[in-house]
Amino acid sequence: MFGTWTLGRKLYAVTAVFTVLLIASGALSLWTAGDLQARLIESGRRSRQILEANEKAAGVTVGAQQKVFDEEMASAEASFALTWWTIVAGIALSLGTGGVVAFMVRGISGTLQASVHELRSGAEQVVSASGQMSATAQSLSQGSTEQAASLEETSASMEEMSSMTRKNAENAQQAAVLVTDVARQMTESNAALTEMVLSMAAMKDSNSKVAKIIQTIDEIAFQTNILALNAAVEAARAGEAGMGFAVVADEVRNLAQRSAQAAKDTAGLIEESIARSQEGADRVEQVAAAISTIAGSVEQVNGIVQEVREASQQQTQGIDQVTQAIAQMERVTQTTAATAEESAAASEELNAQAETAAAIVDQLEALVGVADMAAAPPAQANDRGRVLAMQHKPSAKPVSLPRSAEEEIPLGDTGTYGKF
Amino acid sequence: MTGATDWITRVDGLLSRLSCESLIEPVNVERLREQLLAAAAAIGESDDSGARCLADRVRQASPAVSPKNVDTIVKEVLSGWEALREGAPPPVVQAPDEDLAVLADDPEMLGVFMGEAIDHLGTIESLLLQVESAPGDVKLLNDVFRPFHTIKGNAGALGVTSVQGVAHKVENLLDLARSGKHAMGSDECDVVLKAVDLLTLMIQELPARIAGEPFTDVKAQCRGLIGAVDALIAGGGRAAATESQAPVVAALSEADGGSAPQRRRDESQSAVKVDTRKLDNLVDMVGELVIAQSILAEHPVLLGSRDERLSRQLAQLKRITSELQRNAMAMRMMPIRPTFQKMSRLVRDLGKKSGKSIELTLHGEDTELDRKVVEEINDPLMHMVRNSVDHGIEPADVRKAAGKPALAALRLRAFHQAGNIVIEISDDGAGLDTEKIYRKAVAKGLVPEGAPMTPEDINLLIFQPGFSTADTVTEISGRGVGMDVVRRNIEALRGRIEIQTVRGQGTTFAIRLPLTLAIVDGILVGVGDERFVIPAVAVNESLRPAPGQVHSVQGRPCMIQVREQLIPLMHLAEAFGVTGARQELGDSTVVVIEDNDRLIALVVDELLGKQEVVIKSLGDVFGHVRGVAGGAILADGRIGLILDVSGLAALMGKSTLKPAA
Amino acid sequence: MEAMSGRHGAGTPAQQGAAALAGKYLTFTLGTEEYGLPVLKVREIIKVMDITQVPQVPEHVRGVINLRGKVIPVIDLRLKFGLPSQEATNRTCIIVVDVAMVAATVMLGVVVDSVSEVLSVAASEIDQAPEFGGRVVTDYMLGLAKVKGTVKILLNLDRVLGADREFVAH
Repeated sequence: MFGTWTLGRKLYAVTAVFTVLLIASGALSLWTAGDLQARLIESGRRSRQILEANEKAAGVTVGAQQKVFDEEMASAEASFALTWWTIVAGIALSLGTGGVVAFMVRGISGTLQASVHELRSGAEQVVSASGQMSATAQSLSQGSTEQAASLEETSASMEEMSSMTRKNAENAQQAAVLVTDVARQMTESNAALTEMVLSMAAMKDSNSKVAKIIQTIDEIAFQTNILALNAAVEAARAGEAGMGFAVVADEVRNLAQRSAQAAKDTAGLIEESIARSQEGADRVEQVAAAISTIAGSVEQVNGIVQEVREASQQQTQGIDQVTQAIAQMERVTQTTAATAEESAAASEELNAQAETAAAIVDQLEALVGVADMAAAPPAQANDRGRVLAMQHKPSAKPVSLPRSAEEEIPLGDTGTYGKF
Repeated sequence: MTGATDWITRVDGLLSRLSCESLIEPVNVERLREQLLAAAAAIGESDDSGARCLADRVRQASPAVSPKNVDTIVKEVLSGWEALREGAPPPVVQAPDEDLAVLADDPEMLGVFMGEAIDHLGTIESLLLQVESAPGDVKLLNDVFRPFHTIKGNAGALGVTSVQGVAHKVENLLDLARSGKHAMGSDECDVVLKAVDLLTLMIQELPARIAGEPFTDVKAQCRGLIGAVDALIAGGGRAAATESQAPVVAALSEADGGSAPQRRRDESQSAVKVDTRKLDNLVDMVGELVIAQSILAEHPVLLGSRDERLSRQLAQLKRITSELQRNAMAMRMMPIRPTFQKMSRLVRDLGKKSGKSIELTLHGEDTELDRKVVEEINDPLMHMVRNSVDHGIEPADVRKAAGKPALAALRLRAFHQAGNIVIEISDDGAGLDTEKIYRKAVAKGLVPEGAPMTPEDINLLIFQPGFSTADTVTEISGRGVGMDVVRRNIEALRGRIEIQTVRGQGTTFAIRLPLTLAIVDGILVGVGDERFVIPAVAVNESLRPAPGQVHSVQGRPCMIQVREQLIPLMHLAEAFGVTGARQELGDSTVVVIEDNDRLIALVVDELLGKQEVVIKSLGDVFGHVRGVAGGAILADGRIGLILDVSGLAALMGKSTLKPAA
Repeated sequence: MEAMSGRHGAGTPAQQGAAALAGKYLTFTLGTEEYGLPVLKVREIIKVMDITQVPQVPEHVRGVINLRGKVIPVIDLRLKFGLPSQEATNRTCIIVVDVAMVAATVMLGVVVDSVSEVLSVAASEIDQAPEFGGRVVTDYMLGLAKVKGTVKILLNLDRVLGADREFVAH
């Protein structure tokens, strides 16, 4: 029903009503406006703080809006002050100069309308900027959280790698010890073999000497045999007188032959022994050669293991350094994430303030009645209830906040933020 | 008259000696000789004025001569004269029967007796020749008497009465002589010498007699000799007159006159009789010792040792062994004196037989040489002396015509020269008629007509078998045998003969002999595995043949040219069938050896050195092997064959003749 | 053959011959054959030593050796008997024997493969050398001795080596 009415008419109509109401509401407004003003100033200051924080954290896009915001805030404050005074004057005037006022309202409402309009666009801008800021802060928080997570993962991998490398170095060390031990044993056995070869050679040598002695014995036996035969011949030539001598010669000959036989047998044994010791010596020499080869290989392995050990140590050092770097990165990321969250929270609050401001501007508009006077009062009533509610619980979760913000914030609450 | 001739010979010899020693001027000697001959012609007269005159002349002619020497001569002249005036009726003595049973039972005793007796007889013979020149020397006479006495005693003890008888008789004569009751004149000496000959013969035939083999019947000779001695003793009354004349007479034979005292000193030394086989064994063993020592000295272990003491001791060992060897060799050495004295006897006898007056002078009788050489040289020397007396020395009339003294001079000389013994026989006779020898050689077909020959070559022809230039065959020589045998004998002793002759002035034969037969100075050469010793005497030179030097015939190297002279090559390895010798002539060594002026180039592998080796006979079983003189035990105990150069030459001749035939 | 029949023709009873041959023998080997030398002929036994060849001698005359300073000829019995020659072993010996040669008794060395022993051979063990016929020269044999199951040929060295005055190569 009020929709069909012009603003003047309405105003007029209202002025009458209003004049009454105004006097009442003037008194009320006077009280309320004082509070609002205080609150607005407070909110502006807060928004400004958030913005500053946001700027500090993200350093992006906030500057311009902040400027606008500041200006708007200043103008808003000025407007509130004006409004205060207008209300006060209106009450005064309405009483005195109703008619004049009604007339004059027309002029005044135009100016007011323009200011509210401007105020509205400023509020809208603040809302959008703070929304943007909140989104940015949230994505920043999210990215930081993600980064922290992957850093966590990297750090864990690094830890794992470091431990493996350390184990590797330990194994290499152990292998080196073992190989050194083997090499030492090889050297020892090689020395033992060399000694064995030497003693084999000595054995062979003495065998040859024995063989020579045997040969000499054989030769002596042969010569003794001849001597005995000569004696036998002499004895035979001596006839009867040589009989006894012949017996002796025969005995000597027997001895010589036995000696020759013994020499022959011994010579056989010695020859066998020589052959065997030669065989043994050959084998020992083969073994010695093999051992020598193995010892060489062991030496090589030892070298390689040593190299591996050194490389592992260097690797461990490198990994430690990387881990340190990652830890630092993690610290930085955590700080960033915390700041981002704070920033997000601040920007949400700012947003909420901005919404509040916008709602006030709506109310103001409706009050001013510039565009749609009829529709404004119910909205104003609703808004007012909300504003009141908001006034009572300023740090509580804002119910009127857009769903997106409501949904996003808990994510950060339960996930990343809990860690800090 | 023989006594006179002897005397004249002797005095003439003395004069020549004086002349040689420039004690008397040659002109005076000639004059004295003439006087001497005149004196000799006057021997028949029982007047010694000729002799006295001669003695005076000698005194006058040699005022510079020391009185003692002149006195000697004078005494000789006078005593000779005295002796000559004695007449000697031949004595007659019966030879007693004898019993040889004792000796027959004991052959060893026989050997001892014979050895001693022969030795004594040798001594007597040489002493007698001195007695002849010094008849009054009582000491000499004693020295002659004693061995006779010994022989007589031994013979008597052993029952050899024939020897005893003769010895007894001569002893009697000598006993008289030494007690001054009988003068030992030339006749006495003759008789005693004859007795010595006779006794030598009798004693040498004793084994034959004991064995019942045929022997010379000397009974007549014994009787004759005993008779002669008896006659001399019977006529010995005037011996006392000469007794005081000759106290001591210097020996004539030696230039320095010192040999007689020397001889006596020798005899005063004690001596041991040693079987020559033992001596030879000793020398052999010493040779072995020397070789063993050299093996030791060359032993590598000892050579490598640095032990001062050891090397000193080794050097000492070496000194001792070589000294021992020298001494052992010296034991086999004996002076050539007995041989020379036999020659004086020979010349004396030959001169008497041929009617030539010859004075023999001996030089260097004390020169020592190997016993074997002394034994072996006797015959060749005798031949040559005979040859000189018969062919060299002209009869007295020829000599006179040639303006030479009637008393011919024959000189025997022995001396060492460059490790050899040289024995020279020189005469002042006609010298060799080279023309005549050449003609005769051509006539006998020994050399082809018109063959170009040097006088030296021609002279050497007299050593060819069946060669004699003497126009008349005499009892002494000229039968065409002798000189070839001489050369063979001397070559068998590894010696050689050289001839120096001047027509009308005389001839000198020089025999060059090694000091000993036991050792040869050799060049050791190697061929394959074998080693040979070439007597150093025969080696002219050795050389490495250059390719251009060797000339081949039918692809075989046959000749080598050494300083414009082509010498036939002889491959020792082929000649002796030695395997493993070097095939390339360029790797080999050629040793040029000389045999009777014929040169052979002996091809051997290498020269191993010069070495003295002891010669060992290979024994009769290898008697036919030509070109090998014997074996030598080398330093390593193995035997190396000693080459016989003339045998090699003969081998070569055979092999070179073969293709022609 | 003629020599053999001649000996038989002489009518020497085998028993007597054997009795005369009984005595001591020095036995030696040549190849597989065993020989015996009358011990009285033997001077001594020496080891084989370097032999110096002598030219112009038969093949079986090996040369000369130095026996303590004496030069004695050495005969190779293998070659003399027509056996193949053999290099000297350490058992090869030289038996120094006295051999009656035409001119005189000569000491010489005989090279044999080995020397066995001095053996007494009884008359009962000796057989006359049988007639082998053909080329075996029984003239060298004194007889055959059967001792300890082996046959030993008893040699007459004088016949073997003493035939010539000198060792002349043919």
